[in-house]
Amino acid sequence: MSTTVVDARNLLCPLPVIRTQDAVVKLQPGDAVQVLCTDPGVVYDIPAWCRVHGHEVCDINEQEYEIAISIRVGESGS
Amino acid sequence: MAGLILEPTSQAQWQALVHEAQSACDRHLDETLESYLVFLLMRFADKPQCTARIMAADYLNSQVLLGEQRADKLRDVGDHCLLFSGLFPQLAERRLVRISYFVNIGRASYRQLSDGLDRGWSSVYSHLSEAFIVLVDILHAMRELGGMAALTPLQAMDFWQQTGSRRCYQQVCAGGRSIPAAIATEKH
Repeated sequence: MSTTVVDARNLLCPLPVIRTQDAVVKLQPGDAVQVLCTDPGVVYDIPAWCRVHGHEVCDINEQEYEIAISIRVGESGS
Repeated sequence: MAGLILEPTSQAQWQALVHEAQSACDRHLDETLESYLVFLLMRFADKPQCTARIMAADYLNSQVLLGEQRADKLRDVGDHCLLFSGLFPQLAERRLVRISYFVNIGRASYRQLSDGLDRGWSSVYSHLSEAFIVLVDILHAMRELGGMAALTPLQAMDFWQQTGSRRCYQQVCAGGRSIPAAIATEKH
């Protein structure tokens, strides 16, 4: 099991979702992904994308300028 | 533009224009991509309202669809992003995003489309995703056939730095006396 960090800072939605998708495709079920973002829209977009594709959002950590979203890759793996 | 385009059909006219743009920017497409671009231009020539579309929303909506509906939506997003970044680059400025924003969404759409299709069509969309910048360069050249620059020097510099566009690199070289050395070696 590994943790992959996706740097999507300074990208506007839906580019953080696209970067996350690109990373998740290469991972195995159960792997962890941490997505670093600055666009506040990701708080809605990434959990919605995870729900549709069967991934689990473990944590959303909102700092002043940065948002870190932790995801566990689901069985579909895409 | 060299002169009047006097072709017998609309398709032939668009094809002549695409050929002229390819020659103008010294970028050349294979037959498949050229045909795709010609039909794309024909399809959208009478739809100026398409510039009102919000690509982020359309892309995210495509993610909840399945099968053919999803493929149609992704194709639509990819096509619109190609037109926005190539023919209407000023739209990005109005929406306070970079032109490469549309490039990234368009490429991702075509790439996802190619992943979910049979081998024949898959290779077309995979090719479109890979050659996206070449297509944008040709569309910029097409706009400039009328004599007006498609991008300002600053936009060209930014687009080159973001995407490695050969045409923008040439525009930057032609417009300025110096290119930052570190950047010049990284890109292109």
